[in-house]
Amino acid sequence: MKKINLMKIVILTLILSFSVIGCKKSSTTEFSVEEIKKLSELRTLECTFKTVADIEDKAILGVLGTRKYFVQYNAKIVVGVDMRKIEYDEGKKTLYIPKAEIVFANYDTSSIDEKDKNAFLFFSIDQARRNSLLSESLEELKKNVVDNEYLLRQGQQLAENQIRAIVNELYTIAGKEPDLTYALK
Amino acid sequence: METNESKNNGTNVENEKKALKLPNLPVTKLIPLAIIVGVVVVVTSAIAFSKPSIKKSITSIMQNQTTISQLSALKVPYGGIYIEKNEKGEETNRFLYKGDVTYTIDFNNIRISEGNKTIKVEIPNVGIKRENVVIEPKSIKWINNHRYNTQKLMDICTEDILQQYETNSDTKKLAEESVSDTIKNFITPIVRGIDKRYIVEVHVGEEK
Repeated sequence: MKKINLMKIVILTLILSFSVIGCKKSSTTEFSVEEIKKLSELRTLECTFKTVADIEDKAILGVLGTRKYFVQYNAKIVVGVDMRKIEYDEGKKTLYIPKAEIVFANYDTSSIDEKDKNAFLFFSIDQARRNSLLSESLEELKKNVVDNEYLLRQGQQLAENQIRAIVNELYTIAGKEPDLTYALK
Repeated sequence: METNESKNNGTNVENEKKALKLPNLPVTKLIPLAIIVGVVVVVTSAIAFSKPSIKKSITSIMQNQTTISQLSALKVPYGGIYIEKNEKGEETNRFLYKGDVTYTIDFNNIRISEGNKTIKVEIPNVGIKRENVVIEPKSIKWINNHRYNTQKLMDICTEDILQQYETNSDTKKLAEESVSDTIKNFITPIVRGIDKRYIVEVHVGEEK
């Protein structure tokens, strides 16, 4: 009887040690003025991808090998152009718009869903390693987006439309017909 | 003279012949039949034993594509320390985290009007949206190596950052200057190309 009660206590302790603990907020945030980056990105297209990452957890003490499985998650990728790179040739009356690129990429931790995981109590979850593998998966997704070109073309067209709208407004105010041409830089 | 034994032998031989009798199919008909059977077996096996790759089936499926029009003005990196306390107010743990926040404006809301030989550009307030607060999960480090729910951590950090920087006048002013410079640099050459007499003025935020 005593042994059973002791076991119950041990199990309960283990469960509690892995549970979420409520906390009160208290933070100090450092502000790094020197590292501030001025941006001029015109973000035009935002895409949410459902993708997977290969995750590998090691067994406790490394004795029982590794557990491999897929983790499905949502990633957000934003396409845009760098406005600082826009150039205007007054002689040719041409506005050169830079190429669209991926300006933002991140994964949504709340969307992480583990697939094909074999439940095995003795494998530890190495959070840092998991985050690193998720980041690698995100880089792979970014590369696929760049290689595919479809989204970059869409983002490029949207940026050109936005810029064109402003330029046309300027011509309208001046009472002239737009005679500007647009080219890819 | 037929005896019973010889009759039985005859019957047995005939039975054996019947048992061993094969259909009299020519070889030319057998070969195509064999090929067809072989192909069916191979295809069926391929279908039965092929394992669909989960990774291939769900990788890069685009869920949602949204047109946005944000002009990103300023990216501010930060490092934070979050202190966890129990009900008595005693510190139980603390963790470090890093990330960045981006100030943006809605490019669609840029308004252009004309003054006296002046093109006036009005830009809305720069602000921070929750989706533009990025925490680096790899950067989260517990001082005492404690396990925690990552999503809850991210939410805590995001709230902290939003509160710190939404009303931070220094960074907001820098962001407004960045937007102002960008728009002015973009619009001025075009305006001058249309009419050299015009100058460009840029106003960011609410007009006073």
